Amino acid sequence: MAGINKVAAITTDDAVPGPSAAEIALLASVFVIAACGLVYELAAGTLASYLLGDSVLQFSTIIGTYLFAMGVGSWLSRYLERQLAAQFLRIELLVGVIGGLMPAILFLANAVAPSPFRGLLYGLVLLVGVLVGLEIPLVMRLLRRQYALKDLVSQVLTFDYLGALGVSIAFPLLLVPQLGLIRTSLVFGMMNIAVAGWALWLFRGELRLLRSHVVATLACFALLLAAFVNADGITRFSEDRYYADNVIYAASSPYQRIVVTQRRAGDDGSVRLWLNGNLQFHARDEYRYHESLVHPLLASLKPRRVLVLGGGDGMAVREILRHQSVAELTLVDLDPEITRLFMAQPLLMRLNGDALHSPKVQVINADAFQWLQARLDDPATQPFDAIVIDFPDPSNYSLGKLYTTSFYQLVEQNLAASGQMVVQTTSPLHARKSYWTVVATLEAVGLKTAPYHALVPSFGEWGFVIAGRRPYVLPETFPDGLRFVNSTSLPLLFDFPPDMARLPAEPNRLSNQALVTTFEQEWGAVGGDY
Amino acid sequence: MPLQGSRRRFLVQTAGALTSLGLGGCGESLLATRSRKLVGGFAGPSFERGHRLRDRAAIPPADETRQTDVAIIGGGIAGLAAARALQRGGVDDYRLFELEDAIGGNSRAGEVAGFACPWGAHYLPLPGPAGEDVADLLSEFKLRTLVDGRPQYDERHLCHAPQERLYLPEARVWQDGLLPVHGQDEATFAQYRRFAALVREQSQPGQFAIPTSRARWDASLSALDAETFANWLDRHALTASALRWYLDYCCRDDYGAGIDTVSAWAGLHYFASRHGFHAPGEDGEDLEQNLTWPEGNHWLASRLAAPHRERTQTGAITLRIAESAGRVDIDVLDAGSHRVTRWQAQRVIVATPLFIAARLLADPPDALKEAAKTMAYSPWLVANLHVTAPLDARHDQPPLSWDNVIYGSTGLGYVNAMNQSLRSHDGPTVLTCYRAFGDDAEVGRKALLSRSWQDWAEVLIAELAPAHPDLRAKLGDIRIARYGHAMAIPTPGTRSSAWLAALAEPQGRIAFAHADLSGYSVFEEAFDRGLRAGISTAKALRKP
Repeated sequence: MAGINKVAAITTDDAVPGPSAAEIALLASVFVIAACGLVYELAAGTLASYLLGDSVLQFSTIIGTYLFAMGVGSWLSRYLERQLAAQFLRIELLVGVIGGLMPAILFLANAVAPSPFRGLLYGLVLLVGVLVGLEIPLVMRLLRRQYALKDLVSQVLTFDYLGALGVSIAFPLLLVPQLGLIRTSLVFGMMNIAVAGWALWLFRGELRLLRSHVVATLACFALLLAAFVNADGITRFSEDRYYADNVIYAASSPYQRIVVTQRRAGDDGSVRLWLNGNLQFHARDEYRYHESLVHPLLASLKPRRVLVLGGGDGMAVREILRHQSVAELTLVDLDPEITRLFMAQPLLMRLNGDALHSPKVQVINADAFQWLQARLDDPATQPFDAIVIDFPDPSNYSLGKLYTTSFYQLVEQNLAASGQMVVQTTSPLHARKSYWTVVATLEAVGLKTAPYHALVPSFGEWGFVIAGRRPYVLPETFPDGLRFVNSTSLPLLFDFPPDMARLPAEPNRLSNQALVTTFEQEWGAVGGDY
Repeated sequence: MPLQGSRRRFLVQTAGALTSLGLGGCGESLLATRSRKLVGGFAGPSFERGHRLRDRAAIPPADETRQTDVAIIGGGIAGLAAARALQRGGVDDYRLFELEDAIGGNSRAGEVAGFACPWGAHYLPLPGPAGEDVADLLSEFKLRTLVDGRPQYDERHLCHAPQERLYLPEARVWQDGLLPVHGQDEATFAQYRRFAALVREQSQPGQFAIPTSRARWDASLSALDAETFANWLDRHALTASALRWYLDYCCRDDYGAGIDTVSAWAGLHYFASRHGFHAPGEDGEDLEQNLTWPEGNHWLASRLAAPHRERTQTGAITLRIAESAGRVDIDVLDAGSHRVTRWQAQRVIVATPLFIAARLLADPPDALKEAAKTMAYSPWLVANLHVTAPLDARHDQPPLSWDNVIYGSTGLGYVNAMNQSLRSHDGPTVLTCYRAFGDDAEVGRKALLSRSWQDWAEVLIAELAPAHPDLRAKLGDIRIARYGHAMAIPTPGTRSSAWLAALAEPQGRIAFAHADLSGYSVFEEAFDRGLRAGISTAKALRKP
């Protein structure tokens, strides 16, 4: 960016005739060097705001650090006096390898050891910045010996600015959406290596140990190429899958990493919510999930007092409010950041119909288990007619507590005599044993269950369970305006084809939490195929 | 190679840790020390109050005389159990005197940074066939119900998953469970199986039981009690270092001293009295279940104490117990008012450690003198570390568990006090670290008294650093409790001694009630000894 151009403007020389082929190649390589430097800087800034949140702060500190490092680099270039061509070659290879691999390294580091991540990030940014700062003074000093550069410099600057514009537009709109952050940087890393290759050819006459330079260049290129080919593996490992879309909101609450992405600006249907890298909804088909979660139970019960546990995005609340019988709706979600987001962001409020601002709705930020327990101790509280449980999947032992006999017992104690609950319960197809474990757990506390499932394209075949002291009765009428659930389709959802049919399963208890292990095994096995 | 002795290892490691601290540490640890100042201090019982018994200067004479049927000295589990037995036996006029400001003894608890955490015992294994009294208690506390004739326990108070993990510093991984299995060779597994078979062989009906008073004592047990556990292992060619370390850890955890110090009876009792020892893959591997609470066994102690609150006096320093014609006089100093009251009681139940009892009694019986002279006690350190953010974890390894131990360490690892919390997210917590010094009690006791809390914090951080390099950066408040004589060690000869057997029966108007009478200290033994003393005392009072 600006820094590169300033450095480039320092060295000028005598006028020469029009550009030759070699001079065009020179222009191209300066363009590439500038573009690469810009890509690494943008990649670092993007990564920092993805992984650390607070994009304004991250971008400005990364850019500041990077520019400062470039200044250090160009100052250091004065100490490089001999073997300029070889030095340039080495620096080019280093920039290509370190800059190109930086996002991959940082994603992996973040996945493996989050705590030293910040130090590593700024360390790498400083290193790449210094190397990039060394590049252009060196190339200018090299070329001064062969070309008169006065005109070229102005052309360099022009191309540089054009290149900067091109890259800064291409980066968010073309490169990251098409290639992803890891591959984008690798491609530009390889372009750096290509410049090194060109310099190798250009200075082949004066380089000592030419053979080892050739080997080093080829090795670096091969390394980046290998990383490029395996980028999917790195991506999967570092839970980077969602960075294919534009991140429109990212924040870290004490409880989770919240990311909202949108594939195309202005297309509300392309919005996705991710918590800790797990998809929570895709606006395109979330109605299938939330209609299936809410209406089979609510249309059957016609409840007055409803409780939602989890579901801070307000989508389930939107569906619940379609039922005229509902007079009071309490939403308990752990994370104030989520409910705040879905009560304040215009785009997200469009998606949930601004349901969380309804006068019927009371939003409480608390841990569901502890909140239900405390509620029982207060004699003044009234039970609920329906409880909708929309927690994240039991992917760890903390969340797993919300799928135990003890928890369901507590939910049951908060239900009115004729009340029932519905539980979202992972996929009966991909995680069949997990699904039936939840059913068995509900039955272990003496509840009658009605398991059902629905196809949600973003998730696959998804499971739900209705449970209560009385058997479930299929409803006959539904609110207007539903797109998925109706009285004809609903009975079919309660039928489980053989590949999802019931398996024997032990109830999930606080003291064993077998569900967490089962869930891990089942989804771990799925991960390889999908 | 068999371990040359955990005792030597313990000395080398502890001395090493303390020396490096004393000398200011090496460069790296010094840098780390300076980069972040530790916040904390000592907590728990004051040495000063207990030591007042030793130097009786400036104690005023009794200025008041009061009467009671029974005086109970000591408000630990044994004293509380004795009160329970008296109340159930129809004795209404009793008094319980506790030295500290809070009851509980080794089941005390407190709070650090707003988190409840124990200052002593952390858990209670589910009672076995001989544990009817404990089972009764658990039923009364609604922890246990019978469903179709089978006991069921309240899930919320059973130890939540994940329960145990072991860090292997060389492989730099955590494994599930505490018995080392990761990377062990077939020879080690074969020794696991052989030890399991030997334990099964020893588990003859009636030989090992909890409480120990329910087991019959015979010559074969006396033989086991005559040698150290390490010696017994040597004789059976059980030399695998992983097995030796694990058994040493178990003994230090339950007895405060390792396999070189405790008797073979104790080492085998640990397994044979419960669910045995199970090599990987053998049936029953997962049988052991514990009841545990964020505040540890104080959950039980506070409920045990509740019915006796009116009759309990805390901060009450018993100075002297003297039996005279037809009664017992007990001089009690009130720590607050600094006044001494002479209590005249029909009977007294001394629910203190035996070495204290020997000092309190004006005329101690020979058996008690012998006990005070012979019995070894393990010094303990209990530290509660407030950790302000979840410690870094690798997704492919067992997560933070209830009990977390470092393989090869002389410490006992840590318990996550928030494991029993019902919160469904990770967050700040308190880790309770334990360290027992029974392998060289004198050195340990001196170190506990002389070293600063910062020194101890550094020892603990150094122990956990291989597994948790980010611990120091996330440490909040550090609170450390020191116990000079935390619990009796079942050294060879203790359990089979004549003096221990003699003290199990009342001596005149004085009954003894303490886990010391079992030769080692756990809730079940203290509870049993307390009940027995209470029952015999109530019976004696009913006689004309």
